Parts: sequence; structure tokens; C-alpha cells
Amino acid sequence: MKSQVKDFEILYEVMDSRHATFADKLADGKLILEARKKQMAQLSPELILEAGLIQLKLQMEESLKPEQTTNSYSFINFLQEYSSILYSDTDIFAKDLSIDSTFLNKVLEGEEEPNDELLTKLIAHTEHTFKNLINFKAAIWYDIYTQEKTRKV
Amino acid sequence: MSFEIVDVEMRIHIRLLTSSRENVGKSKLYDGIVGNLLAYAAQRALFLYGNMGFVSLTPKTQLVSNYMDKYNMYITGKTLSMGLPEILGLLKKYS
Repeated sequence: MKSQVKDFEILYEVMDSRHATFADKLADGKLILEARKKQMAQLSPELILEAGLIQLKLQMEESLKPEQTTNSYSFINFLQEYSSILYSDTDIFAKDLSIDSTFLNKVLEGEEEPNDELLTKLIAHTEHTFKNLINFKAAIWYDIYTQEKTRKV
Repeated sequence: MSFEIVDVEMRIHIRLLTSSRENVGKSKLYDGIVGNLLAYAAQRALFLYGNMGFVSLTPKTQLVSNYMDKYNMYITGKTLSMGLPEILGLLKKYS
């Protein structure tokens, strides 16, 4: 075992699988599929929730990158996603935010613009959600909203 | 690092992973380069596929145990793989 670690340390190319054969890839593809099925069946709801939240965080961060010029991401899409990851009922989301549920539903459907109160409460809610999960600057909600407005202008 | 996105399988397969000469061995300049590169691939898998994200690679034989011990990867034929629990663990460690 020690000699293997030593080998690792003297190698500067730590792996290279560009030259794997098609047969190898096919055989491994089947094994990977089986491993995935087995693992998916054992995933806890907490882990799935965590993955959904981190995926949302990554997508929100990506939407602010300068090279991101398309409108494939929007504030409303992110808000809908955030709500659906955490709540099955938007009225409970509104209650947790201390926001009028009719207003929140209208925002989620794009019929109303989010106001400062909603943005502030959403940022606080997000900070609390991600607190023990992963580093996340919750004020990104405000950045995404203002960037969207700027693009429209 | 070079990786391919195997979209139909919601998987990222790392084809090449290297570190420069000055960053290997006991007198390396920076530590954790491989871990950070793996974490980047894991992050892309999670970004693209959420809880279905998966990462695989085919390591040199003598490095298999190293990847398994250090990054919790597991054997799937000639490749090593990581699913959601390992991806999240790696992201938390290197984010």
C-alpha cells in the first residue's frame, strides 16, 4: 500500500482514460447503471432535498455570469423552483415568509412584480435554509432580480 | 482536466486529470489540486442533473485504492464512480 502512495506522488499525470476501448465503456456503462439504480433506491429524502437546493444555488450563480446572455434563467423560475423544492403548498411558503399568499402566488405566476418586502424576507429565508448546508450569498435574489430588470431596459 | 458529458446517462466521465510537476510529491507547491478538480466535475454533474448526477473516471491501476480511500469512489468495472452522497461530500469539502 505504501509503495502505491509513493507511485501516486511521483506521477504527474494521475489518470488518463481517453484510450478506453468501446467494449470497456459498454461493459462499465452497464455496471454504472446497476450501481446507480441501487444507490438511487437508497437515497434519503434529506439528501435529495439537499441536492435540489445546491443545484438551485449553482444555477442561480451561473445566471449572473457575464457570458450568460440568454434568458433561460429568470427570477420567477428560480423562485418557483425554490418553493417547489421546499414546499408542496405555496400557502405554507407564504406563511413562513410572512407574506400575503395571494400576492406570493401572483408573483410566482408572473402577474405581480416582487416588492422590497418579499425580496428581503426571501433573502432571510434563504440564509436560514442554507445556513448549515453550504456557503451561499442569499442576497443573490436581489442581484438576479435587478440584472433581469436591467436586461429588459 | 478533460471530461465528457454523457447526457443520456446523466453522467460526467473524466477523461484526463493531471497536475503540474511542481504540484506533486512531498515538496508540492499546492495541495488538494486533484480534489478540487474532482469537485469541479462533481459540481457540474450536480448543476446539470441534480440528484441524478454521477461522475466516473478510469484511473491508473495503482491509484484505484487512493481514489477509493480519499474520495469515496467505488468500483464499477474498470471505472470508478461516485453518486450523490459522494458528490455532496466532495462539494462540501472543497467549496
